[in-house]
Amino acid sequence: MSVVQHATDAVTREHSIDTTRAREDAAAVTRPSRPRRPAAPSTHRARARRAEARSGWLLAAPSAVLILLFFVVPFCLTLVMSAFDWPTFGTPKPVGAANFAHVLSDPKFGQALLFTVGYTVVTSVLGVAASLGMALLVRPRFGGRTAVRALLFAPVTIGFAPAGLLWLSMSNVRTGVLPAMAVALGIVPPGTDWFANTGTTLALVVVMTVWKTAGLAMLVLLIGMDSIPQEVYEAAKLDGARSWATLTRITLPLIAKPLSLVILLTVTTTFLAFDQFFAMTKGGPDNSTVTVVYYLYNAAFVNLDRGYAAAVAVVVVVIMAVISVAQVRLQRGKDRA
Amino acid sequence: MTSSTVSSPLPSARAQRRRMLRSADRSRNPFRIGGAILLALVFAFPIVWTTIGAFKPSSEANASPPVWWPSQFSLQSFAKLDSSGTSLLSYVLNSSAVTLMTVAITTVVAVLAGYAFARFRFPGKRVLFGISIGMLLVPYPALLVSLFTVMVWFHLTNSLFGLALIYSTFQLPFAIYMMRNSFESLPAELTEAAELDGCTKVTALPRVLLRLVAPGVVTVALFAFLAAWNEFMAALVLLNDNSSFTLPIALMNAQNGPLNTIDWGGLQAGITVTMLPCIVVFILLQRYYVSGLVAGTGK
Repeated sequence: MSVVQHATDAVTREHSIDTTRAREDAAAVTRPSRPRRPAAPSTHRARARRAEARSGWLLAAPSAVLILLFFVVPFCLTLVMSAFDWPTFGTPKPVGAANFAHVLSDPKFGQALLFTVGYTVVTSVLGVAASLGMALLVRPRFGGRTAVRALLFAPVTIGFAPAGLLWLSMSNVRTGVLPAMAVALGIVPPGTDWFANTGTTLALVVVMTVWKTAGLAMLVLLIGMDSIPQEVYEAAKLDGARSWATLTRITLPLIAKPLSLVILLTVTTTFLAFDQFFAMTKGGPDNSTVTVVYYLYNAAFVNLDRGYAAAVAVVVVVIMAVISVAQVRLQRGKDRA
Repeated sequence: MTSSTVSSPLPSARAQRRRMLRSADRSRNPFRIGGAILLALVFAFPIVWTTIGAFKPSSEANASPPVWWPSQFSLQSFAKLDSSGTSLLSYVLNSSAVTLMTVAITTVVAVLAGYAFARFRFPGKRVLFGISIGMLLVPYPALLVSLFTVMVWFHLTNSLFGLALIYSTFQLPFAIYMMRNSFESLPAELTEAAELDGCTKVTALPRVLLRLVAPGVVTVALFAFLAAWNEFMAALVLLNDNSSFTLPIALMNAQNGPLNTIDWGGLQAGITVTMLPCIVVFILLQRYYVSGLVAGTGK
C-alpha cells in the first residue's frame, strides 16, 4: 500500500495552507468594510456563510460517516478491548493492563518482534539499494526505456498474496523452475527443499519482496531525479566531475526527500508484512518466520484471544508511530541543515 | 520548426540548447542498455513463466522436473481451481463485485469530500481533514481485530459489500487528498463564472468542475482498483463462506489442497487471472498512476 508517504507531506502542506488562509482572514478583518453596502450585508453575509457551511457539511458527510464507522469506532474499540478479557461469546471482563504485561513478557512476541525487525532491516537495505540502482540505470533516455521501466514496475501491481504464491509455485521442490535451474547449474543437489530451511525460506521471501516492491521505490526516485535540472549536470561536467562524484555530490543530495520517503515507505510496509509469509511459509519452519502482524493474526483469529490481540495491535500502532515520527524528525533536521 | 525561424532568435536558441541538453541525457552505453534490458527480462520472467504455466495441460503443469514449453496450449487448468468444485469464474465475479463497489464508493465519496475541503468553509473541516490524514499513521492490520467485532455488530461479516465499505474507507486518505488538490488547482474564477451562469456552488460540481478534475478521478479509481483487487488480510478475516471468497483467498485455499496435494496448474491459472488485469490496467493508465505518485510524494 502506498499510504504512509502521503501522511507527513500532507500534514506539512496543510499546515502551510492554513497559515496563509489565517493571514487572509486577518486581513479581511482589519480591512475597512466596503462603503457601497452599508448596513444590511452583515446578516446577508452571515446567512451565506451558514448556507456554505451546510453545503460543505453535506458534501463531506459521506466521508465523515465512513471514517467514523470504519476507522474511529474500531480505533477506539481497539483501545477499549486491550483492557479487557474479550471472549467470542459472553461478556467481556476488565483486566486493566494485564494484556499489555502479557504481550511484553511473552517470549514468542519478543521473538516475532526481533524477527520482524531483522527482516525489515535486511529487506529495506536490499530493496532501497536495488531501487536506487534501478533508477540510476534507467534514468537516461535510450531506445526501449519506457518498456524497460514498465517491466520493472509490473510486479508492483500484483498483490502480495498472489505474488507470494507465484514464487511458491516457482520455487517448490517438486515442480518449481528455480530449484530445477539451480540443480542444472550445480548449485544445489537434486531434491533440495528450500522451504525446509529457515535461511533459504527467508531468502526467498526477501527476494520476492524486493522483486515486488523495488519498482515502486524506483518510480518515486525517478520522479525525484527528473526534477533535477539537466543544467546542473552540464555544469558539473564542465567542472570535470566524474560519474561517482556526480552521483554522491549532486544526484543523492538532490533526491534526499524522495529517498527518505522511499525508506519510510519500505520500512513501514515490510514491518507490517503478513500476506507473503502466510502464502509462502505459514510462519514455518518451526514458527521461525512469524512476523508481528502474523502474531497479531494468530492471537485474534486462531487463538480467538481478542483482548490480548487488541493489546498487541496497540503496541504495533505505537511502534509504527515511533518509526514515522522519527523519520519526520530526521527529515526536518536535514531540511534545516 | 518553421515557427521558430519566424520568431525572434532568442527562443530558437533556447530550444536548440534544450535539444542539446536532451541529447546529452541520451545514453548510448551498450552496457547500460544491455543491463537494463536483461534486468527487465529477469523481472518479467516470473510473470511470463506463470502465465505459460497456466496454459499447460495439467500433467505438464505438475511435472517434475518442470516442463519449459507446453506441448500444446490447454485451458484445462482454468476449469478447476480447487477441489471444492467452485469454478474460478465465481471467484473472479466476487473479486470484480468488491472491486467495482470499492471504486464507485471511493471515487464518489472522495470527489464530494475533496470539493468540500477545497472550496467550502465549515466548522469541523480541519478536524475531519486531520483525522483522514491521521489514518495513514494507523496501520489497518492493527484495526482488524476490532473491525471484525464492529462488522458483527453491523451484520456485515461475510458480506462483499461490507468488505467494499472497509476498502473504500481505507482508500479515502489518499483519495480525498488527491481530489482536494485537484479542486484547489482549478482557478476560483471558474466557480464564480458558473455561479453567474445560474449554477449554485454545489451544482457547479457536476455541470462544470467534474470534467476538469477527471484526471484526478481516474487516479483515485486506479489506486482503489489495485487495492481492492489485491487485498488479502481483511478478506481472510471477514469472509468465511467459500461462495463469497475473493480471488486472493481462493488462491490461498487452492494452495492448501486436501492431503497437501496442490494442483500447480490450477494455482498458476488462478494467479494469472489475478495478476494480469492489474498489469494491463496499469500499462493503460500509467500516466495517472505516476500523477498519483507525484501528488503523494508532494512534488
